[in-house]
Amino acid sequence: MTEFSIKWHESEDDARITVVVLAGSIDMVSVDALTKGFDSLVESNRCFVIVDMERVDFVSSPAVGALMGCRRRLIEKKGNLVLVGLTPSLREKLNLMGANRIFRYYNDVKTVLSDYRWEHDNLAQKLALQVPSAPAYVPAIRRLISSVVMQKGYNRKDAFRIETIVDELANNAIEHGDHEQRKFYIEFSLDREKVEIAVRNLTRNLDPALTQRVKQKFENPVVDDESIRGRGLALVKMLSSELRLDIDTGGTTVHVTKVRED
Amino acid sequence: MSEKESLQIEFPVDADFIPAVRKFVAESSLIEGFTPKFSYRTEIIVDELCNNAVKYGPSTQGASIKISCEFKDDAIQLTVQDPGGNAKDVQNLRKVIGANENNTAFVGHGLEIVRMLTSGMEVSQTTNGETVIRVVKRRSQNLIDTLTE
Repeated sequence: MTEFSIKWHESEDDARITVVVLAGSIDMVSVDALTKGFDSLVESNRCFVIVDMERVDFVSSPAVGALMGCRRRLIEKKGNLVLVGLTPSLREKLNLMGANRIFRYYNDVKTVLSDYRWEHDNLAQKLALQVPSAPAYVPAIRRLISSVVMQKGYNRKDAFRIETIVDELANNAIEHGDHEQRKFYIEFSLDREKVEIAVRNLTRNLDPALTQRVKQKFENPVVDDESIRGRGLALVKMLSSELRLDIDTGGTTVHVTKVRED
Repeated sequence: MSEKESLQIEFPVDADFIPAVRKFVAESSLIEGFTPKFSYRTEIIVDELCNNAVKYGPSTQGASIKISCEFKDDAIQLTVQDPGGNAKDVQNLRKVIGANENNTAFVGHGLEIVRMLTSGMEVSQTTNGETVIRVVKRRSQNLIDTLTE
């Protein structure tokens, strides 16, 4: 077993984050050095800590306790402590000690940074698609969007509403687009508070009278009781926080903003 | 090999997006008439290439990975483009891709799996310094596929 060592440095990608690199065997004897190292971090207000465990051979239960104590103090200061680079055997041992119920494990530092920025900076992330204009693709697009928003912490109800909006807009884009172009576009942007969806189809020289009719229908989507169709836009309007239509010479774009409800 | 449909996806350099994206490409191949086995293997290829792109790509805000899928009658051509890497990295990748029984350059497990599942793989770099990996997977590319299809 290699000798215990603890080193820390500021993350190269984000100065708010400290990376602590542990190595060797963290046994009873090493716990003091571990605790002192983390004490100095907490005192210097380095509150978000990634502990890199890739070169750790062994962790004793007092060492896990010390890490838990440090995490608790960091959380009191609005920070956190997460673990990266666990080998399968170390992960298994930590799980047996119940550490998986306390710490979040990550595969690499990059994913931690991404999650940290998502939580703290509230910057939007963007997904863009160019898809064949075929109705068969719509369920797959719906599932893609729903899966992304749930992965990012939106609940099932929000995800269902967002996928319903995407479903209706995509079906409309396919139905009313220029079929010879064989493609349409979706731009999807999400942050912790809202999603923005833009669905664009390609059209050719829309008749001004038809453009006017589309705009009117868009402003006031009326559901005709006698018809089995035409409910899509009304449904989208009901589920959206904001809805906007742009018609230009090349195509039609529907913009939707949906604020997170949970 | 006549061209049928094409699909393009652009998403952040963030591992959270990979499961949804790989599933979407796999579903798309089913829609285009490929078998469930072909679709599953396509999903593995996308997963490996995207994980590499996230692992070696930059973690700067706004950086993105671009996937392009060209569906043809008997094959799918996948292109994965990420903003990471430099000329040296691309040269190393070429060595890795060109490795075989006679040329034992180190191949990571991911790329080795991709090489096993495809019939062609090439790497290049755009003028903006983006790394591009292009693979072609044919319906029946080798004996194992033909026997088990």
